[in-house]
Amino acid sequence: MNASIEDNNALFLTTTTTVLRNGQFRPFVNTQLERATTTVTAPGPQSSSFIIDSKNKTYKFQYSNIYFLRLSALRDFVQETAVKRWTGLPGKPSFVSRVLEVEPSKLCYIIGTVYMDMPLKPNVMEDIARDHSIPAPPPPPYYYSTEDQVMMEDESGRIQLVGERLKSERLVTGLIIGALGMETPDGKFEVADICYAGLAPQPSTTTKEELEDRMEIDNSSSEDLPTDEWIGVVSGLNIGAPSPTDGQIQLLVEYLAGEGGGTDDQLSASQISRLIIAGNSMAPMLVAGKGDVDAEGDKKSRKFGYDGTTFSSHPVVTLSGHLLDVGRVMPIHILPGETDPSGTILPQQPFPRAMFGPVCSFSSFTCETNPTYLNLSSDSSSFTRTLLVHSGQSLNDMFKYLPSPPHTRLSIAESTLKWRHIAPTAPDTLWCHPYFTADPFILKETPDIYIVGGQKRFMTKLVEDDGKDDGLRKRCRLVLVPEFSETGILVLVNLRSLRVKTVRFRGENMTGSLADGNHVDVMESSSSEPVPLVEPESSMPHSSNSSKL
Amino acid sequence: MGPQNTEDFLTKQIMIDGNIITYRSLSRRLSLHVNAAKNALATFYSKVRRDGESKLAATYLVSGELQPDLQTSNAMDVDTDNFEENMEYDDDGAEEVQLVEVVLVGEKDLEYTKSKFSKIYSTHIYSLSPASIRDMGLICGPNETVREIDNKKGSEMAAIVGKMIGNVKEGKGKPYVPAPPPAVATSTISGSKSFASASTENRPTKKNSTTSEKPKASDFFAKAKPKDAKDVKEPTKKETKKSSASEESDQLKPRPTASTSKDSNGLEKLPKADPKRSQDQQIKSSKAKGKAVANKTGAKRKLPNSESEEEEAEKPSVRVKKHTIVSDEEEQVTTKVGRTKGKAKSKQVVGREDDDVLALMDIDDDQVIRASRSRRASPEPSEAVKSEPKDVEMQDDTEDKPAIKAKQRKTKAKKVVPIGKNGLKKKRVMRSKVTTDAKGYMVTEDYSSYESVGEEESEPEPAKGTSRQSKGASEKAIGINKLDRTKQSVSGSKAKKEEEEERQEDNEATSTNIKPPPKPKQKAMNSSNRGPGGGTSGQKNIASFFGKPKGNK
Repeated sequence: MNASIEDNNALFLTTTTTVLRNGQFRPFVNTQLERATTTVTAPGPQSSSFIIDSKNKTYKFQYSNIYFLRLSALRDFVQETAVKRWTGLPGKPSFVSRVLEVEPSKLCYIIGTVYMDMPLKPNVMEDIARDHSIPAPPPPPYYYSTEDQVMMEDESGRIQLVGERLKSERLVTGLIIGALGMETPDGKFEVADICYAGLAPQPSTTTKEELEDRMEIDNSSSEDLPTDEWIGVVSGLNIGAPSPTDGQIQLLVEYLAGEGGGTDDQLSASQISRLIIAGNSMAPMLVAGKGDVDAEGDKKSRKFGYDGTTFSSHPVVTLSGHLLDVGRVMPIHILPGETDPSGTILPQQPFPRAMFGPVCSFSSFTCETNPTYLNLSSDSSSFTRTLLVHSGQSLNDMFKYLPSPPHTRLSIAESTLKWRHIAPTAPDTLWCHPYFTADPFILKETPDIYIVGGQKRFMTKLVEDDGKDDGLRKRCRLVLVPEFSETGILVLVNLRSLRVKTVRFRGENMTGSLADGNHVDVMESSSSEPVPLVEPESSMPHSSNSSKL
Repeated sequence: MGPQNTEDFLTKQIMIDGNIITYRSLSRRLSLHVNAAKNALATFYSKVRRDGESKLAATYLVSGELQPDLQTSNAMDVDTDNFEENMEYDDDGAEEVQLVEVVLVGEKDLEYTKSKFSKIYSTHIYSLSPASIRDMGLICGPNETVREIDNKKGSEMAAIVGKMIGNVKEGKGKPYVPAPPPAVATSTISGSKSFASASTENRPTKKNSTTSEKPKASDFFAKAKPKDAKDVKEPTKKETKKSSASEESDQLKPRPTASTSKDSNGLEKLPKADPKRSQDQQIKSSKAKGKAVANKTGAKRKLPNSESEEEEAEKPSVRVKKHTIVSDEEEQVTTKVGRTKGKAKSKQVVGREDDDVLALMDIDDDQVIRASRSRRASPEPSEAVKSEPKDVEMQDDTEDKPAIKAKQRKTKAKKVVPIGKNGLKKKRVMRSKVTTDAKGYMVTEDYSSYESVGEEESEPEPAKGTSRQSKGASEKAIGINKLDRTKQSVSGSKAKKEEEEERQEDNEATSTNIKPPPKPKQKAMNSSNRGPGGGTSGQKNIASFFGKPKGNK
């Protein structure tokens, strides 16, 4: 066998030069690489579980509980920051514990929940009052307008916040903030400054030595070592979409399995210890004609199975096939996302394993909630990383509150860490479970890696807090994972150094590839500069100013 | 696998069959490392090209890093299409990271694509096809083969082709295969074997010593199964089955006077070391009965299961006493031994029984009913006697098939007067009794049950306790039964569905007929233990079934 391959290679070497003039073609050696491994460890006590168990599976509670819980959980942290930040000010601001007790013309600060009163925001009262004979207008792509009002409320009541300062802040409904200012004669609160709870403590920052270690690790100059474990993150495979990207997914699978590419690629692939699929694995189903069928009373005929004319199981089958291919070589964590066949309300519960066919017999294949915490420990060295992964609904929803520019998704995602809340707009504009006893979206601790799926483009940042406030250095690798179907991007995160790299899969001058349109552009301009691969988000506002003024 | 083979394979696949061959499908088909397959494709391609064959298109996979300016502009994808406004964005501190491009490209665009790279990690032929690939989806085509082979050969192939397996574990069990029903799980070959032994060996000896029977059975097993482990196991299993079977029969057949059957239950269990246990059993059995009576239609499907569960729970405790005390019942017991036949391993089972089981399994509910009706239509004792021979199997089968049992009960529910296998008619009797339960509460209970009425009509109207006194008559009936059985064990080998079904009816009859006698005997034996009021002691126990819940409240 080996001998024959040698022969092959020899032949190959002698003959390829005629075909490939550049001679960059090298024969490949049969590598047998070992894949890096990581182990899932038990989540820390501060990591909330997003599983809704049977005893909590009730919808009878009012959503107001969430706001109360959130306020009571975060008020102390906000106050702590506020005290540090504002006590030294010349006006000697005092803390007013209830927003309605602010005194006019006296500098003070208050803590409460932000409520954004936005005319464009969906309103349940309007839904009810709407004439149902007319189809509802499409939901607005964004909520912000110039008529927005910012309110702050707590148990006592609500006060309107005004001031120039607010314009530069990222505020969405449901935040717990502290506001410094004074009441205006007309009963509003003129805000001079705003503070948040700040980054939550990080679980593993305990000893000084470890801190030093972290410093070193976090040093951007630290290079990737061949022994490092990486994780792969992909989002938005959108299998079953009208314009399929099966080809790219196929390349992705081969890359992950360590089959495609050359030795470098295979070496790189061998360091990927596991794959996280952050939502949107399947494209939204088109349920055209379903209503008609029901109207005709055809329900009986569809008692079992499904109607083949309006539904195809092909996306699940295709996805299962890919999952099995990847699942054979590495553990997979799959989260449901917005477009997946899963519940709409957050936290989305895990997929039923059995729906993915043979791969469910792998114990290393896990269906996770969305969002989910993952604790991964390296098998080569002794560190553990806490990952917080979600499929992006909360970020996408917050994005509707904030004009972009100037706000970017990355800056909003970073803010969620400082707000200590990953989904503040739930339950206002984001559907979520009516939690009664705890708000699991509160960040009790800052994860090491915060992965947000379902985004328009890849972005990453190392969010750092030098810890001058509390002496604890905190840092979090923030990764926005773009939709694979639109970008073909696989994100790799080094668990040790928290470095990130991306791999993009595409076809050149081929249909069924995201680079298709790209190529046409390139040909036209005859320049070598590729055009951005992401379709512009039509739903996104071009600019608040241009549209409103 | 020499290069010539590879070449032949590729020529056939691509040139003749017109397939797309990727390096993966080649590696799977020829059991090559993927890298070797890549090389083989290149070799083949260059050779074909040299030969001037144009009908072959190569698709390349290029990986590497793009030129920095391109990379930047790629990374600068923004949420809006207004690049001008880029400046107004917050400085969000987004990092630029390394971007590795993996590009699938046709041969024609290969050079152009390569020119965009600043650093190329590798270039290899991804696939060869008769025509150039214009649609990326086409590369998924050969996937079918790859997956098929991967599925078949699994880890072995993974090692050959160079897959890097991380810490993945494939579970042994297939989670989506439904678990077999519990009844099947308990059934073993031993059941039917022991049955065979019981029918051949026990029949002639009738109801004599129970002690002799056990060794025989084990001998039988030793013969049938050379495995030592089985030897040890089987007899005990059989015993447990026997005991549970008898209880089951008690529970399942509400027709025999409830008081008596219960009495037998209760009394039998008394001598046991574990009185609590027996009480539990009684409770269970009473529950089962209650269900049977109360929801004749509703709980039919459910009941058998619950009973089978009970059996399992009861097994250990009931074992000993059966053979030591209940001489009369022993026969009944032994006949039921085989009730749970190993369906799966039935090849080793005596063929006839196997057929019976299978036949029974095929029986529709409707058929069952019909059969019992026909039976009713011809209630001649002679026929009953004739059908008796298969009585034993019948019992097995009935117990084997809970659904059938349920059906039987249904027919009872329709107030059809059943006829015993010995031709005696059965009568439905309403009774009530007042008992004192274990906690000293007075409990009055009404119940209805079937009692067999002797041919001679000498049986008095079954008032409470009378059945005990009518010992003589019923004993006589039993005598007949036993004779019949002996006959049957010798002769009976024909298995016909209808007969079986009839026998089900008969079964009930036999069991009812047989039961009364043992009770008085036991009572006599047990009453000494229980002291005064021995006659009611059994009822006491029964009452405790119903009294328990109250007490618990």
